[in-house]
Amino acid sequence: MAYIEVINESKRYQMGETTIVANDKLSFEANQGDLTVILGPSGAGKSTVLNILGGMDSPSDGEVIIDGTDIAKYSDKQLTQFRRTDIGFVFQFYNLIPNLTTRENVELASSIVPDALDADQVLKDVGLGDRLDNFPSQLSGGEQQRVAIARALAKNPKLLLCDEPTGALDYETGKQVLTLLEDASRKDHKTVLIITHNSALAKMADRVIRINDAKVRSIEDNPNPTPVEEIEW
Amino acid sequence: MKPLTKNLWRGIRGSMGRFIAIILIIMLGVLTYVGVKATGPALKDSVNQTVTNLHLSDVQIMSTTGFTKQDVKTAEKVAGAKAEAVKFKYVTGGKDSYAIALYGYQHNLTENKLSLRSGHLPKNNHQIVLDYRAHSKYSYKLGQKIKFDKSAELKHRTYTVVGFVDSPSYVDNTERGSANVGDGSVKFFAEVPASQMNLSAATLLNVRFSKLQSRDTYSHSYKEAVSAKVKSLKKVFKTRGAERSKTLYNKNAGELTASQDKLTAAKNQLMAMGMTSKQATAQLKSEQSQLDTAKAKIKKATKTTYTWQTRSDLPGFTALGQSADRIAAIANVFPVFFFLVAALITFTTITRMVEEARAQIGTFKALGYSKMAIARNYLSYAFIAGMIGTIIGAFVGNISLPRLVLSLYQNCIPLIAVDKFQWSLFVISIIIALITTVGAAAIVVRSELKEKPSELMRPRSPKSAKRILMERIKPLWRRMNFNQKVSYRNLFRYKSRMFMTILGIAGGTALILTGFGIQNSIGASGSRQYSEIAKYQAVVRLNGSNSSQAVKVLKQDKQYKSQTAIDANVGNVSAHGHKVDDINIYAPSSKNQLKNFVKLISTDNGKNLSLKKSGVVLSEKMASQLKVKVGDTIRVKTTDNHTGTAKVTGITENFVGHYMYLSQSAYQKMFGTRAKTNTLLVRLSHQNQHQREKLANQLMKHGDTMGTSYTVDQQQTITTMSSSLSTVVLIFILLSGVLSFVVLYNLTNINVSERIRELSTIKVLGFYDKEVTMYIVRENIMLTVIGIIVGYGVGNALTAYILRQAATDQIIFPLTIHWVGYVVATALMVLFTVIVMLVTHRRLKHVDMVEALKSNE
Ligand SMILES: Nc1ncnc2c1ncn2[C@@H]1O[C@H](COP(=O)(O)OP(=O)(O)O)[C@@H](O)[C@H]1O
Ligand SMILES: [Mg+2]
Repeated sequence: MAYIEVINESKRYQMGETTIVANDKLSFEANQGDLTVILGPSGAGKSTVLNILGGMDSPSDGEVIIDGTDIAKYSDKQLTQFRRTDIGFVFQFYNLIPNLTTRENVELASSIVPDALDADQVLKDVGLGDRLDNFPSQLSGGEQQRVAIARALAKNPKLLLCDEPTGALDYETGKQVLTLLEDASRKDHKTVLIITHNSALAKMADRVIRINDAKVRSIEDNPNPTPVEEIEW
Repeated sequence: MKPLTKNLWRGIRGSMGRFIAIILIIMLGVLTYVGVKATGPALKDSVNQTVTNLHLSDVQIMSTTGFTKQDVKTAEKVAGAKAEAVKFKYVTGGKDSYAIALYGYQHNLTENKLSLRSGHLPKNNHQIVLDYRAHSKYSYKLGQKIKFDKSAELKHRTYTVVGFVDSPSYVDNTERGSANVGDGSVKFFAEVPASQMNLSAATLLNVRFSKLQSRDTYSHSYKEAVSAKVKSLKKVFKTRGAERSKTLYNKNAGELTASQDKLTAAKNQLMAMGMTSKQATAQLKSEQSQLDTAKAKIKKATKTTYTWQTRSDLPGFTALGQSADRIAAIANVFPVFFFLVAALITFTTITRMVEEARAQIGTFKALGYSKMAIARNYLSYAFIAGMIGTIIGAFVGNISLPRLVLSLYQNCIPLIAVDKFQWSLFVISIIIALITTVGAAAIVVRSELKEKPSELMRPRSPKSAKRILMERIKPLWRRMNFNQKVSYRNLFRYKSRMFMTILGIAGGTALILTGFGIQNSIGASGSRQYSEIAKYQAVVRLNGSNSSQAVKVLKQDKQYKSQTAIDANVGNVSAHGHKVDDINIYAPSSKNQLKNFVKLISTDNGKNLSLKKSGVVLSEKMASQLKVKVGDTIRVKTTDNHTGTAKVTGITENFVGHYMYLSQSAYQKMFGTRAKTNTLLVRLSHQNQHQREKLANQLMKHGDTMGTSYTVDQQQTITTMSSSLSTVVLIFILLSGVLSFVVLYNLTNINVSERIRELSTIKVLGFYDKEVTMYIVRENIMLTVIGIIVGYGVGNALTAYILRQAATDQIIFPLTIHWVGYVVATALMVLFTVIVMLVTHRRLKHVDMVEALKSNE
């Protein structure tokens, strides 16, 4: 069943005289509980569509139906509400609050939703049970990204959106992070979307959507995804 | 243009808000500094200009026997003196038999020139000009007739008012001095052509020294020079006085000399005849004694005594100088505060600016620009902002504040406004402003330029967060909710911003409180003195020591409540080598009754004091000036030359004037003579102005009194003093408010841009707009609350400090800040916090979170 339906979605930026088309009539679907990878080179329009899916931005045209509702026409307030309860975000640069401890960074997210998970437990799950009282500056990049994932998961969202989560990480730590995201889909049955420009990662996905030059170029389903553990790049 | 210069201008255009903020803050600092500093001198300059232009005399001499041409010549024997004799007399006239100071007008006089407010000077013998106060306070109009009482001894009874004038002899419109006619207090002055006054000789001699006019009339050097001149004048008038007495005596006693000659001849004849008729001898004797009494009478009437006056004795003259000093005292405190805050704000703003341009600086460095070339970019930015701020601030401040204050004074004072541009202040402010802007920029750029280009192009490694002290207090920390924890952690992380915000808010609160405090405290000295301390409403000076007539008149008055008789004297007190003049010495005829008229309350323990069999009670200010404590001995000399010493048995709370209280027996012991009743203290229920004048008139006519003064009038003088400051205070309140607002706004802006990534993150997490705003504003609220509370404390301290600076030697200003001050200060700060919150809310609502989170900066 399609959890996400993007139909003819376009996003244009007006830069003075010229118009930049970041997304040009994109259409694709992603299923509930699946792990979907969006693949494409830099500047293709991946982040743009992910931000729209996450309610951080609205499309210029088209429909973005999530769990049966079109969020394209949402007001700012509705978008905020949507982000609050339904979405977990993971960025390339972890965007942790430097002045809050690991635990507090997670609590920051869990404190605003009613059915949040226990912050300490989520942190234990991502393997940071012994770093609860550390500040971000005291953690490595991989650890910081794991805190960011814990923060996204703690809200117990339906949809986990990850924009180049391993972009700033080395091979090993990148793998650990991807495993966590994989688990979120496989074990917790969250719908997970991961953006990457690393085509090797296509193997881990249930579905791969290739975007280039603002357009969807191909959509492939992968009946037998390879676990991250076994992927080499 | 070189690329770097281009970059500078683009930078200014790009961060207009910040640029303007620096200009604004520097401008405010300079404006208050220059403005307030210039106001005191401007006031004094204006008084000086006025008295020089209108040729105010330096010394005035009054004589019991009048002045002739001979006296003018005598006075002019003193080097540099120019003397003019004028007719002058206190008379009664007008609607309610007002006491009027009447001068004989001579068009050729050069001293104490009148300046016309309206109409013209007298052109014929039926015309008169009146004090402008007669128009403003007693509503006389041009063309109206004014009638004088017979006792005025004028050629006509009525004169037509043809002009209203100001005189340099009366610089302060709140008072005109006191007189022995009418109700005892002079209402206004007037000038009729001199020939209209039936006086055998001029009664007033004005003396002016043109050489002294270049000195500031309030300066020490002027006062010293004048007292030297008075000394010389006294010397020449010593012999002149005796001479004048003798001439007059001889003239008046002409007939008596003839009778004496006859009498002596008769005596001689009788003796020559060898007749010793008892009857004849007795007759001769009685005639001789009659003659002697007549002679003595004439001698007394022709005895010449002089009264000496200098400018400082003119009504209101000294007080005006003191209010200039008071403004100057304020000037020492307020602007310093402003500059301090301005410096800190500039520092943070430029720090932030340079921080944001790290990558740019790195690029320039990598391109091979020298450190100096890059630094110049930022230094110029700071320099331009600082200069623009200083120039605008100095000109606006120098023009606006003194003019405003002067124009207020001009409503009641005949001032010629002088507002020089104070170049020295301008230079000082430029120096300070440049230190705060360019200096701040230099410090920041210096530390930044030390880093290598590659380091600069990378984002600054985040300041490592630390646990705050509060976290270690586990029970407290655990009880806080998540938001509170976050706010506290943030507050302590950005310590400098925390301190600056508190400083800005506390400073504004304190300055506003101080503005109110100065006014309240000055007012309080009068209101407390004349309600708590002096419970009487009137002081009636008796002609003799018999009060029965006066009491009779008082008892007929509806408002009369009670009276007590005292011996009131004036004198000076000295101790430990210090001396205080103009002491009121009160010896009540009944110790017990005094309690109902004067509250004697110990400054040490707040207990009521009573008068002892020996020893005296002194008022607070005098005791502190003499540096005496209870048990010390003081020496007193009264104006009628009684002297004596006594122990201090108590020091009593008192706000206005100097008082010494002692019992009848203590008086006897101290001066070796009995105290004599000469004054009544009178309690009255509330009277209106008319009732007061009527009672004073009645007492003068039928009560055998010399005059009546009311405490309301004294309180009025103090009220005027405090209200004359009210505009200055209002200006301060406004400026302080603006300052606090700019500080809060600017710091919040910096805070938001520093933490835009953090704020975008929580937006992405799904915080509602309100929550996002509160995330940052919560800190402002805490800081505002702390700032306001700190401000209360600082405000009280600042008020106390300024009051001490501004205190005159006669008055104690009790530190008083009414709740209105607290409410206004608090309300303004809360208002600012709310405005800043709303502005921040708008800004955060429109923050592009995607953009903010995109790159790794
Ligand atoms: N806020 C914006 N304003 C203008 N152009 C933008 C904006 N955001 C993205 N773009 C442009 O849209 C295109 C797609 O960008 P993006 O979605 O970030 O690509 P990517 O696939 O690398 O994530 C790029 O050409 C980018 O320059
Ligand atoms: Mg991208």
